[in-house]
Amino acid sequence: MTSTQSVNKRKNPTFIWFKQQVSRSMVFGILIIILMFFVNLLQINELTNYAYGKDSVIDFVSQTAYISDVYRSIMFLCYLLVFAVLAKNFRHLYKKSIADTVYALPISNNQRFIGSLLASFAMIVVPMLISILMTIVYYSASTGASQYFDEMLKNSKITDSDFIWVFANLGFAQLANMLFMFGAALFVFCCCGEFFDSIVYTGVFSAIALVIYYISYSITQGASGNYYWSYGNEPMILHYLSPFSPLMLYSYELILTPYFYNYYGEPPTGNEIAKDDFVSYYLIIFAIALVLIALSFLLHSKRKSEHVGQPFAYKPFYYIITSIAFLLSGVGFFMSYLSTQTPYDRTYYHGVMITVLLVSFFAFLVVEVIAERKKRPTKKRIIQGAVRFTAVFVVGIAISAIGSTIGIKNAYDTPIKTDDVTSVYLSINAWEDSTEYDDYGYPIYTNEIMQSPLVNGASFTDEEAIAKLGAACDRFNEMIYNNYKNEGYEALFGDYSYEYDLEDGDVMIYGISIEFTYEDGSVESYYYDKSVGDDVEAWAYEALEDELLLSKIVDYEEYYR
Amino acid sequence: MIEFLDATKKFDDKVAVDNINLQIPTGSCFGLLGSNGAGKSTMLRMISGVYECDGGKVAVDGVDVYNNNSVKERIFFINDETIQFTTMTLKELKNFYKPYYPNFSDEIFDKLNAIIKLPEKRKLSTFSKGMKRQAVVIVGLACQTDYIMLDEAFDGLDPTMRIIVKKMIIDAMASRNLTAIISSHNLMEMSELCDRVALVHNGKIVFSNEVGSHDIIKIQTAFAQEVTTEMLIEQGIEVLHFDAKGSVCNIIIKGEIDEVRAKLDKFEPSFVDTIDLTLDEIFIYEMEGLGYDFDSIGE
Repeated sequence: MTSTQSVNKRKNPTFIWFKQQVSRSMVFGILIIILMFFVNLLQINELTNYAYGKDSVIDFVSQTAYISDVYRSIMFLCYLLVFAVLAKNFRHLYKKSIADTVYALPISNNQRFIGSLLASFAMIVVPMLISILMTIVYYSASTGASQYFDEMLKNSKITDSDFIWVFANLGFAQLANMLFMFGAALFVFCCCGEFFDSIVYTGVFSAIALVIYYISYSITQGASGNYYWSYGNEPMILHYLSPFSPLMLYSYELILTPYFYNYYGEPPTGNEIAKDDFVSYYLIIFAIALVLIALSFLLHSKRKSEHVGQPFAYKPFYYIITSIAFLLSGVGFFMSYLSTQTPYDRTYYHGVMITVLLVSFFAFLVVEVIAERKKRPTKKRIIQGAVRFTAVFVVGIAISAIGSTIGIKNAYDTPIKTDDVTSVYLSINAWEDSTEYDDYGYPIYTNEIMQSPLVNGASFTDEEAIAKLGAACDRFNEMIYNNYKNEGYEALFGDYSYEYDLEDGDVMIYGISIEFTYEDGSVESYYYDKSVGDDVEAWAYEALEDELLLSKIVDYEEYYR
Repeated sequence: MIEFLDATKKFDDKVAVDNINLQIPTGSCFGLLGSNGAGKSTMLRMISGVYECDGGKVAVDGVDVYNNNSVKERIFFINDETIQFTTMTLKELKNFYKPYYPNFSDEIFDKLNAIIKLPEKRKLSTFSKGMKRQAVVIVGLACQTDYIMLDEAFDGLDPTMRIIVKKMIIDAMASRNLTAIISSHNLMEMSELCDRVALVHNGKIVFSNEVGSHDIIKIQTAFAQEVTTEMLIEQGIEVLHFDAKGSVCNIIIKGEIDEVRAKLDKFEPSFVDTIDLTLDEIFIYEMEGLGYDFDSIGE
């Protein structure tokens, strides 16, 4: 046999690997194009419905009530496809039968990672762009739809640029979610060596933000009873910081709904909405996705071929996962317990803590057994497991203990930072036992208190009004704090069993809601009922006649979203 | 040349390759012998850059293999499994490897496939185990690498195909100085194909020699007096096996032939004949020397 001359040009191994992965995952990319095309149609359909108030421009989905379900189902499939793209392009991380072949090829670990990553992006980002192009072509080519669309834009208050901006936001949000899910799953895939473990622990890992949020909230705020709530950007980000979070399926409502609220109130200010509420959120999502991908790159570069087939490639990840499983199951069980309670029934949970910890222990055990299934249960391993469990158990108990207090930050002993407040919303909760109703079924109130804007809910941006309401809150908070110190935790839950015997035209004031919105976008809500003290009712009556407050009310239509 | 320089590979607590030093000359056909789990496959994977050494290094022409593309494109590794390519056709398999190996020759591929006649457009999942192995071998040879590694090389091949594959490897060695490193349990084939062999046991090299230049000697002799194993050992002879039928003895001895003859002369043998050992016998006697008791099997 005679040898031949070199016949191949030397090519970049990354490029070769990239091409091979693209051809393998192409089918998923095509499916993403098709599904995202339908998603785009549904989004435009919703936009036109809301904006123009007419039936669907898409004949086959005229029942708008079902559209969001259809949308979510399709988006869910898209996210599954993203997962499939990842699993296909990074199968060398978990498929033992190809490990020898892949690791023997003249391509380095880093080149393989970059090739697989670029191929995955090509199968996620490019299909999304193609689907947008297809949508544009569809609307351009479809005369009826196009005319309708043009007419809608012409007659409605929505301008072309607003429309495009909202549409771009949706695409941005969907892409951010997809990349975030991709990044989180890739990180777990790089930490695991088996497909089964990669799938299971992607689920567990994705809940890490929820666990962190819940625990940090418990520690700082405690379970603050029914008088205090706070929410800002952090809870939203943390609470839903999960590739499997329902938020991913809700990006459409998140973006469109406030847009339409705006539309009905004021001429649309799509840019403002996007800038304030979404772009920053999704930029964070993007940034986290990039961090996860960068971490995955580091882990991948250290990966060895013998890690393929092992449940965990990196021991620290195993410890993290078992701990998360423990805490997550506890948090999850406790949250599901709370969801069965009405706000007024939440007389706290000392009784369920043992159950919570038992559920956590079971979850810990399950994960431990799954993780160690390929090894014999030696005495050393059992002791190690017991030590780890004890450590996490102690943390769980500590968190529970703090959760049964009013927390470190202590919402009731911290003055309202009125300098940082941008607006306050005040609502005096009053009740008139009306027996007459208008044509629309709304009760007809006769007492003039019920007509007060403070009862209906009013907003203030004036510094003096903010200071006045801040001072009132500080006073009531001090009362609650004193109640807590004297009577214990139960004092934070109030007494909602009002007895009343009102004559026609009489009014009962039973509580006050005050909500502060801060410059950073966070919100603190306080609710004070009569059980806080008699001063609450007295203050409410004074407020109803307070000239400063009444004169500084911000226009309802202008302010309220 | 491939060199193991104090190379060690561990899996958790188990040492699979234990501080090995070994040289595999360029252009040779090197056989790795050993029982199951001895460390042969691990060594092949270390040479191929699949495994990174935990200690020492494996170098090809002085350069570390692991994660080194320029070295790895001179090596082709065929492992002992045939399940990894089941979704591909032979043509797809060829196209999978081709871009990574700059010397890949379609001409050689076509020529080799003309001999074994594998269908190019059928999925490999429909191939028999032997056909899959042939497919990978011809792709590997078409890559025209300087080194080819075959783990359990002839597993699943029928006798005709064994001869053909061996011929292909020998041709490549002759035409372009290919170095082949083969692990196999088929010692007869190893002795036919390899010019050097190494016996691996518990991750260590027991011996590494040219075939036929080992230090194990089979001697047939006869003594006038009764001679026992203990008596030979007392004389400083390293006896691996002793078998006496009447006055004729078959003795397997480790050592230099002239030295052994001088020591045997003390027992006044009537004759001393040296008989060539097969690779099978070398393997068996070395393994017996390491504590394997083949005689007890089946008792």
